[in-house]
Amino acid sequence: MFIDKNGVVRMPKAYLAGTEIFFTDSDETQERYHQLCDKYGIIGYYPPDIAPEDEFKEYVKKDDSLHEMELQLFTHDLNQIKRTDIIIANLNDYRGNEPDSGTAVECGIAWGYGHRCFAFIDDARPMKERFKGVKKVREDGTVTDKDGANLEDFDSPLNLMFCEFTIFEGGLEEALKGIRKIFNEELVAAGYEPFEVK
Amino acid sequence: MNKKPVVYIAGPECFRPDGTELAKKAVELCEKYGFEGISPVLGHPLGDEVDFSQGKKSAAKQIFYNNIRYINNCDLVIANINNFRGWEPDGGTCFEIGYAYSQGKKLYGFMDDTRPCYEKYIGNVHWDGVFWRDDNGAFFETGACNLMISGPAQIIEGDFEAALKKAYEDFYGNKEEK
Repeated sequence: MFIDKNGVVRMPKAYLAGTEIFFTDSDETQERYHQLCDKYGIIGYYPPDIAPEDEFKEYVKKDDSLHEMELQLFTHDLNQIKRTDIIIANLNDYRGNEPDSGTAVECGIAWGYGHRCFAFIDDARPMKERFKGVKKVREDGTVTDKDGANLEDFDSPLNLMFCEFTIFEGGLEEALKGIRKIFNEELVAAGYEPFEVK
Repeated sequence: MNKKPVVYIAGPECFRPDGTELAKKAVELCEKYGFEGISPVLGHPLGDEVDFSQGKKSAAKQIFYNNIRYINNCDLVIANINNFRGWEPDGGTCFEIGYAYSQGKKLYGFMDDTRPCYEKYIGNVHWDGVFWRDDNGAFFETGACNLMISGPAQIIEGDFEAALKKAYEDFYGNKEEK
């Protein structure tokens, strides 16, 4: 339960953005993530979940080109975001020192649609400290990567464009715990019963 | 004459020591092709003066909302989606692409190399019958970048100017050569 933008108390729907879908154990992750969300009183939308109203018919491909396939999948993910109230993004580094670009785009879309925005990351220390690549220090003290590009220095583990995200250290469960706490505080403050995690 | 279309110039140039010069060059190029370029590196009258004395987190929010204002005010985004510190483009740039999409802006992404991701990847890849996968078992998108970018954005091989040329054709037609 949570209080939505219109003041209605109901189950929140969460878009679970991340790189989990790329891995061979994605099906197991999908099931585990759904169970975890249930436990914390949140309805989880894993990206490949098929909503009854979708079944990939919300975008009908013109032909079998790569771009049409991309547009169909993009539209599917976009509609999953539109169906949800909040986003919980896995913003761990992916194949290097940046988060997955698809996840980052989804974060921008969700923020643009007015979602409550949350993320999780294994190491939530400021980027300057957590950066795994080779670090250099310029004469003026600026910390850079090996190519001389500045590391963000805004007391955040991520690029400042994620500054409106509430970031939890850990995995999905740590994020869900934190989100549940925030939602329960809001419920109690408005005179409702908190959701009890079993 | 109508107002020129406004380009938001997105990319990780802001992290480079020569970021300011690169941004100035990009703004000049916009001018040449009949656009007004707004670079978050250079700032713009639409944005507030960032007050760094108020603490890093507040300064970050100020910069963030300046960028959001610039995007709200633009007609198109031209984004540098080259790999940044690894095999993904800059996360902030990707956030901006997503936000701009949600506000109905036209999107262009440029990159040096538009071959499929698995071909560009320096590291082991293997074919499992359906996908190319890396050593961690993660599959590669079929296209030049993640489909959350190539779905809504036009992907152009080349540099900022190459993307700008494409935008010029789309906004002004082929009526005159630049």
